[in-house]
Amino acid sequence: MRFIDEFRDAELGQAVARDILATVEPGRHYKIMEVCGGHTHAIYKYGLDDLLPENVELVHGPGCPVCVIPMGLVDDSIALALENDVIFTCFGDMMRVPGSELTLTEAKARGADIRMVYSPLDALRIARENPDRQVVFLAIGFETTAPSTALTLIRAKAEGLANFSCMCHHVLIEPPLRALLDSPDLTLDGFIGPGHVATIIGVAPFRFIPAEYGKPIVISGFEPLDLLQSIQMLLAQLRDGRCEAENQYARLVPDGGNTRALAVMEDVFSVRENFEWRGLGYIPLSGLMLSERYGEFDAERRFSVPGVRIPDPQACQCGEVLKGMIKPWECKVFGTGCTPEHAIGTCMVSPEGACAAYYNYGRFTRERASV
Amino acid sequence: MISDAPVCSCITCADQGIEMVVVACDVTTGLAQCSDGDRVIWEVDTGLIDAVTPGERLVVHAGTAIARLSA
Repeated sequence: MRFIDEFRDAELGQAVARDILATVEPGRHYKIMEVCGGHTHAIYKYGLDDLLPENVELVHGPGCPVCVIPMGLVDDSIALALENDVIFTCFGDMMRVPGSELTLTEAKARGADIRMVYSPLDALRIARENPDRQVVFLAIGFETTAPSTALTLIRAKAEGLANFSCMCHHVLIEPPLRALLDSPDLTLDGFIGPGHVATIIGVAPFRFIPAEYGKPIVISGFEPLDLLQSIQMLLAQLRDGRCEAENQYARLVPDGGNTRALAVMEDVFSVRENFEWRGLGYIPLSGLMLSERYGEFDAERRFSVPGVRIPDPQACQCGEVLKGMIKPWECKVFGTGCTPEHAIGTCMVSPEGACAAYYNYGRFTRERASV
Repeated sequence: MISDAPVCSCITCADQGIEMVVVACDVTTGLAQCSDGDRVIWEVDTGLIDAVTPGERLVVHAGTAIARLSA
């Protein structure tokens, strides 16, 4: 398939891997964070870390929106679904995120009308088809997903759909990156930046990383060659003493982003004063809620939502995984108490979560290596 | 990620993009019928990009086209 096959060429991949080997300085250790869960998934799926020199270490960042969902939000969702006789809609991976007692799947088994959707448009269609029922859409995701929710709410408003509302928990990419960079625990040499978030917001919002923190970043695509080239570009910056925000994914990412997407987000959302992230705690100005113009569609205003706050389970080390402080297999419950079938932590729920990606692909390499 | 096998990937992820081809479009609603790698037809909101025409390749995330791949 065009735009995919040419970025999976094994010979070219080996050539870029040789370039990487020629770029690194022997004896120097490089620690690079891939921010996005999609990158983590691709790295493990294609075994890209096996192509890198031993002194290039990839660590996984907080860019999987399912992985950063706090348990309290799951409990709030279940309470809304069980107590208000609504049709509650959400993306599939949210169904298995553990709350303090139940997942949304288990709440569905107890009688709640919870339905998986592939897009906000699906939720809107359900609302049109069920005019006698209230339909709630749980909106999560970074700037890539937020415009889709915004467009759907604009449609709902234009149609005057009174039975549709949104529980808005979209998040922004810059605040958690600042929180990571401000952490004294973190020792990173550079970042692989999220390509599709950048398709929406552009390259400019990432320039604070080199400008204020002295760390290079390369915005990357998601195919194997994209990632290998991005790693090579990052290592070349470090070799040359440069510190810039570069764009490897220029075939999709315009410098200024998608202006229409930014405009609809500005219209439909406003920024929350504070937002809770799993493993990272409360980060100011990091979440989105519906603006006053769309307040009539805010499920948290329309229904009673408990606003539950629950600390992460003690056994779970998602927070340390999300901050890149430990590898997935270093978590105390990885692969034993916590598996994709019975997840304790969110990083094991989503296929893009570092733990699930490693469980599904990477552990076999380690098991072979240890034989 | 741009995926040619959407069912294997996380549909919730902030950064998943699925390559699709426009099959038909309705300029009045801004909705297009698009085909993925498995030739499954999806309804796609095209409100973030210029008007699309059949045959064009789009990157779709959560039911919305976020960019076009071919000029």
